[in-house]
Amino acid sequence: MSGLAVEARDQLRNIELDVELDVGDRSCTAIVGPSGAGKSTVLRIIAGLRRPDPGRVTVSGTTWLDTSRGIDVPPEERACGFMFQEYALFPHMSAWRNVAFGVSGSSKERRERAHAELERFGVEELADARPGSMSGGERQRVALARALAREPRLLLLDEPLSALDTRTRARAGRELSSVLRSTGIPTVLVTHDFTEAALLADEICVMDRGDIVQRGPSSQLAANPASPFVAELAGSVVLTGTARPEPPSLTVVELDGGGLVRSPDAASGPVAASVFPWEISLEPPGADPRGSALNRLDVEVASVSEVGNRVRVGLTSPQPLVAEITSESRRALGLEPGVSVTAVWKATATRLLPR
Amino acid sequence: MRRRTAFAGLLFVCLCLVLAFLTLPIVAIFTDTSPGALISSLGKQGSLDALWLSLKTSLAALLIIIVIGTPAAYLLATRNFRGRSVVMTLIELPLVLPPAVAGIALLAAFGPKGIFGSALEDAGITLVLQTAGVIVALTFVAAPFYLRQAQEAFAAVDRNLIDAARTLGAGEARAFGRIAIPCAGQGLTAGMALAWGRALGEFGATLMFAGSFPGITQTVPLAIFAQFSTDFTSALALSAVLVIVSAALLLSVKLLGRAPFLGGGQA
Repeated sequence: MSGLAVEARDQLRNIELDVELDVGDRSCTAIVGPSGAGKSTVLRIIAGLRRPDPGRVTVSGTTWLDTSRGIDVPPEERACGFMFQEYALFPHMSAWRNVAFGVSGSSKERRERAHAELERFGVEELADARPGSMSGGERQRVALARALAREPRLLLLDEPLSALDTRTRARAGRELSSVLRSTGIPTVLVTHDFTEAALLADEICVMDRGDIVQRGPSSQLAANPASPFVAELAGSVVLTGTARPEPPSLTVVELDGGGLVRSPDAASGPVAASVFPWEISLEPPGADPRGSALNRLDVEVASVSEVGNRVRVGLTSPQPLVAEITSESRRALGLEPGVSVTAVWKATATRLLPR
Repeated sequence: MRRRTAFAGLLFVCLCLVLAFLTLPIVAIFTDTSPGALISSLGKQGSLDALWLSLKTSLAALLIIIVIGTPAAYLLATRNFRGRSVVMTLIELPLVLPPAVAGIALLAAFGPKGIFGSALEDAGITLVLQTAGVIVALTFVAAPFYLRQAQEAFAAVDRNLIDAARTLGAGEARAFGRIAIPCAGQGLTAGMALAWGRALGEFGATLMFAGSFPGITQTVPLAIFAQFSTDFTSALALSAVLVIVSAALLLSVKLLGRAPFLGGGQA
């Protein structure tokens, strides 16, 4: 059996953790949830830094933990690449020594390996710098280089982008996603940011109070949330497509599967266009385009769910999206699954994230 | 306004009194006799013996404290176990114990008639009235200073650094040696300075447990006590040495507290 399989129960401070998870080879699963949901604990259990009871962890057929059979491989023998939330670089060591720490071999081999790994992430000029003198983005690259230098069988990322400022985050996210695709190591990523998870992971597990409440591709979670909790967490809608500039100042995104979306954000190539559901309004099909909204997609209603005094409407366009409207509008449009409508929102409400 | 000024004046006067009372006696050590007389009296055999003995015994005690105390402090800082706070309190007890009580306690434990006395005798070890006894006394009174500081320093090390080292293939011992100790280095060094300072000044417990034999158990504080009635200048000279060493230790603790990292680099 390939990939990673985890089953674990554990008593945390005020919640009971109960998790079953499997991640295929060459695939990335994100665990998304609010802080205190037990996300990081799952990573610690996989890495062997915490022992659940009962629990089982297997990676590509190797058992790392099986409490029923008394197997518990110590963390140093588990070959996990673990990137910690604030990166946990050793402050008293230079970048290359940080990376070489996990590499075995002669001191020459370790040094060469560390430098090669730093070069791969474009930070070879920082080889002799201490973490204290690096920017957040540089630290993140060194930490990633360190986690991958010992050729782990599994990559664990705890909030990989949350320690970065907003401007660095987009670029770091793009880099990380290409690294994840090129390494092909099964990856588990923990984040509280749904958009980040949608960008990096193939599958998302939504975690709440120690339980995985729903799992699936990001688009599916956004369009068909199993609970108001998931719906709220999913927050914005993410549409994938290919961007090209549209002079003078707009970018037009050709959505995968059809449809056009415009945004003032500059981008080209593969992107994720995100829009908050409350920015999307719904009109009867074939209505005359009036007003300034540039984005109009003909869609079909897939689901209708009441969240508080709002209505979340799941739509298929071909890509799933979600609009949030009032109960009054719902009644006025007679929205039920299967009804055709036009989803309308402004270009300025559309964020473009490179992917 | 006038009252406030008067109050500010009162504060200032009090600080001046404190400063004068605490520093004048120390200044007097250096000014009571001419510097030349101080230096020449240090050359006397008795003084040299005492200085050498103090250096030897205090460094031996410090070595024992570091070698055994560092792993013990690490355990206290990183593991939570039943009775941990009781252990902490017991370790800190010698800090507040009067030196005479410490001396009696050591005699009751390791003296010829003490509970371990006959066992030590069988093993051919005599501590009382021996240099080894001085080391035991110094270790007893100085160890808590290091242990407390080291425990705090280890507790302040980011737990994720140790965990990161583990996931990078380091066993517990390597994570301790390569990560925990360097990251706690500043606190550990401060603890060493405090413990060493305490060991150098130790008087009461040493006197009771090891006695005051020149060249064997007479450390600098004991030599000062032995000389002050007969040779006040020599006692002053030895005191001056202790003042300088103590001041240097205190200063190094303060500077370490400010240094971003032991061994340089920015935090």
